[in-house]
Amino acid sequence: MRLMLSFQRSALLGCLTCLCSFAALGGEDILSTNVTSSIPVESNSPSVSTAWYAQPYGVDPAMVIDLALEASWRTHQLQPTAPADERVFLRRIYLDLIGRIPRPQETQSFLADTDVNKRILRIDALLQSEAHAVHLSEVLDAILIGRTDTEQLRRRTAAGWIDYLKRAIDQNRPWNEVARDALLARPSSPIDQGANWYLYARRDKPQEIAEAVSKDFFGVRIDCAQCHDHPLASEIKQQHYWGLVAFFNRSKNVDTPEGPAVSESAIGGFSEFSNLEGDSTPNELVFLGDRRVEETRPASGAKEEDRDELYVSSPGSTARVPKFSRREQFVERVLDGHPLLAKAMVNRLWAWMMGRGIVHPVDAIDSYHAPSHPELLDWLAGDFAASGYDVRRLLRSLARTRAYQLSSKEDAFVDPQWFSAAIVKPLTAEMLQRSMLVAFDPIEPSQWNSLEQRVMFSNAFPDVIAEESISNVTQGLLLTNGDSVNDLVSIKHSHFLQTLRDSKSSDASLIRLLFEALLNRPPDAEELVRCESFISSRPERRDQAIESAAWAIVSSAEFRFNH
Amino acid sequence: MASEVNKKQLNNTCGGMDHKLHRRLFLQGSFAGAASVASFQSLFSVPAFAESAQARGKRCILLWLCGAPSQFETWDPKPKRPTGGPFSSIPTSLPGVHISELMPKTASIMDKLTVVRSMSTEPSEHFQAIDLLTRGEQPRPPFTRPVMGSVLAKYLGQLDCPVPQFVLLDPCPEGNEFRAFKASNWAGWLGAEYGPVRFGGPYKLENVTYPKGLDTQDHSDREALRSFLSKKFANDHKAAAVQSYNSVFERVRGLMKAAPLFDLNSLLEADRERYGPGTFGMHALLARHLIENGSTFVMVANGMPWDCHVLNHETHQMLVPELDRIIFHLVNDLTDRKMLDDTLVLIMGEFGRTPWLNEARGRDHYPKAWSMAMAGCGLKPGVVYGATDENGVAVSDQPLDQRRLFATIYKALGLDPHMAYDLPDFPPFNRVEQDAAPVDELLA
Repeated sequence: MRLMLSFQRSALLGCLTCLCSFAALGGEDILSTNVTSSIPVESNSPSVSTAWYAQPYGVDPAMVIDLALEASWRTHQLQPTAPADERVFLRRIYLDLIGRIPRPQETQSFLADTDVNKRILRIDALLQSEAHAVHLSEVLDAILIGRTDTEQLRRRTAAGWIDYLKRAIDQNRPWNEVARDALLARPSSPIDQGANWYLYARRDKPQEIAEAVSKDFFGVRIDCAQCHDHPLASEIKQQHYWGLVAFFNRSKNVDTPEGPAVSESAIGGFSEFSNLEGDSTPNELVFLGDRRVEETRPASGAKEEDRDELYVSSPGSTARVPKFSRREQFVERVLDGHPLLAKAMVNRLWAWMMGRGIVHPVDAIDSYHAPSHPELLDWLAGDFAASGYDVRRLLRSLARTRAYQLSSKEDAFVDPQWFSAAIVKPLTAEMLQRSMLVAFDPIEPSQWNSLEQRVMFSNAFPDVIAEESISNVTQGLLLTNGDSVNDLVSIKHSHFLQTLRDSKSSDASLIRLLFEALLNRPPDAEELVRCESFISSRPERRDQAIESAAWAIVSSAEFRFNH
Repeated sequence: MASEVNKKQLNNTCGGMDHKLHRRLFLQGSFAGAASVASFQSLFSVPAFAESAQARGKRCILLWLCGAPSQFETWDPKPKRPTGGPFSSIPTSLPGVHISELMPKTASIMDKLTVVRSMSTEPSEHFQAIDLLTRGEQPRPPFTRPVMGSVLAKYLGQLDCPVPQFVLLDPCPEGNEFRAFKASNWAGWLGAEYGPVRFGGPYKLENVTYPKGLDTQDHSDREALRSFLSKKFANDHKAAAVQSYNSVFERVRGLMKAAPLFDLNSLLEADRERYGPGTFGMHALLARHLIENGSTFVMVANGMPWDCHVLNHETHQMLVPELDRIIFHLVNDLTDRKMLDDTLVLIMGEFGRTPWLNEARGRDHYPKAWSMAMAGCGLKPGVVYGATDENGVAVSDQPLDQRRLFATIYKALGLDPHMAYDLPDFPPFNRVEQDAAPVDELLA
């Protein structure tokens, strides 16, 4: 109770110190009225600035995040940037939540909306849309299995994996259930069969499975613990690497009438691993945090006998299920409630929205990589678990924070780890492609939407939450000279450009329409003059000039990044 | 046919008189209006101008032996010692100096090489060591020091040259920690325009011809408009990601011109046979070709094959002869072309390997006492610097850390090793920190 009181005082203080900005945000939660472009005045009561991490789980995470980040800005004497304007905000949530830029009419309706809650209403609408499920499934697919070729993407899709992810997001399935489905790979209903693909895609390579599982669901890279205890993060032991391998080394891909499945043997999978000093250790079933499953090891040299009574599944079935299943033991006794399961997902979704993890890079949650806001990460992870691993609630909370809604414009270098300015994020391949399609409205969408095009784009722009976004010349050459881009940005293939060309409107209004459609804003005076003269100085090749201006905008950094 | 291609390419390059004249005019013109060219300011301040004029034309090839080769099986053999392994040592063209018997060709040109047997560094894990031995300093987040290649591309490189100044030839994208390092920000605070152009393996140069219906003029007009819009955005978005994106477009035209240089098929068959069929040999040859045609720094990598935790001797028996052949031909070719005086060749990994073997008969990471080799530009040839004790366990004479190594390399290339970077809002940074002194005994 005391906490809540001091908390309200803080909100009140905020209102008093700043009567400006963001009245429009209002209503939904008290803290959003506290959004200000200046650092709040320090209160006399210490509990105001320090109490945020003592908030009980279940209160609004956006509020807790705001308090925590504001406290860290004060500590580091940082001035956060101004709030992002409505257009920037709208473009940002469209890209982050449904993977494409907003259409001009969507922008217009948002600008015209006078509802004080319009930001949160739009966030919610996007989160509940089918487009969100499609978009987030693409993101998760790229993280969980990775970029691939046409053939593999076809198989992945046919196996139901993409549909599984889409449905999981659409129904907002708890993240721990999704993790369980993927790692147990024993669907309780045929509709979840697609989840098997997570393990199946690793083609019977238990080490590859272990390295992926650790990175994807626990946020820890254990690869280098294969040969020795992790030299920099001492809590990551070689026995964890081989322990995690053991949980999956009785598994084997099989093809059943229902689709790809992962069978499991009741015997075998006992071995010893050696460290660099040559000491041998049995590969016991143990993983990070010393989560351990006891299992009787056969005496050395003893031959195990595979018998039907060791199995739950009926004799002769293709996807066998042993009575003692290591995978089942893993999801029941290691995965279930493991603190890293929540922490890893919180950190990843934070990074997705904010442009950088609290632990950076996102898959290095170990003692060597210090979090920028350790208590906040702990709180958010605890709250995420307490909420039933509610992914949508977390995304919604992140989108509503002050930090998320800050401007990305900065006039000097700022250390990104304090989130005192919005961090620009490169669009993923899918976001880039989809945004181009939305803007140019191709006459033959299938030509640009094909599996081949998707794979070409995703291999050219493979990054999803990369540690650093570094462009390469291959990308520059593709965007400049590539057929697919140049064809799409052509009057011949684009409804949008055809309409522009045929509209008989002035060059100035044509440029305005181009900017609105591609950058979600009108051009400034300088841009208008420059682009207008680009077109007006080429009267004999007006079509090509329009295409070139459109290309110049679509290949500019402003289009390439979510800012 | 191939020589025809080569001749044609040479006309495109940056070494000729035309270029020098053009460059001088360019520098003079910009010098007068330096204040308007903010991003180039540091280059045009008077001392830097003098320095770059002096150092102009100097180039560097780094044979990056990632994973870290064993000094015992290369430059610092300890035959018949308990740590020495099965290979013997052989005499070289330098009286009294022996190297591993796995390197007979290199032994015959030791008088052209400059070898350090007393490298001693700190980090013993790949990522940290790669970072240290490419940048020269421990990390100090959030500031990112540029790798040596970016420094050379900026301070030795030729701004108006279509040939990329910093090239990473890397046919193999694999190699855990090296792979991770490759994803990091190489150019650091110098800005992405000084980052490497990557080629090899998945980095094929495609899309190097004009799109249908666009002539050269249309193409560059369009790019000028793009660049105007894009830089407006970059003005108030200082993130390295944005810089990096814009910088790749600045390279597009140059790469379209330079694309034939990257065509392995245009290299002489006889050369390809000499360097050998492997990708490492082919890319070393390509490095020579690029350096001849205007690149400033070419780094030849090949995944991280040298990380011999298992079967060290057998692995070195496979890898060292290839390295031996490549060093021999590269140094000889540069000599024959009278380029060795202006071209520095560096041959190194991120640390050495343990004197003792592990249970898998591998040698593990060993930063405490290891070797590297150099040749050419600004160095004293035929020098073997420093020594390790009889078992190679510790440096016994003239230990050298990465700071002094970097200072020596920069000095050899005509650059001030201690130049202060002009970085507003940053703490002070120098090209090499702590006034680490170049090693006079290594310098010509």
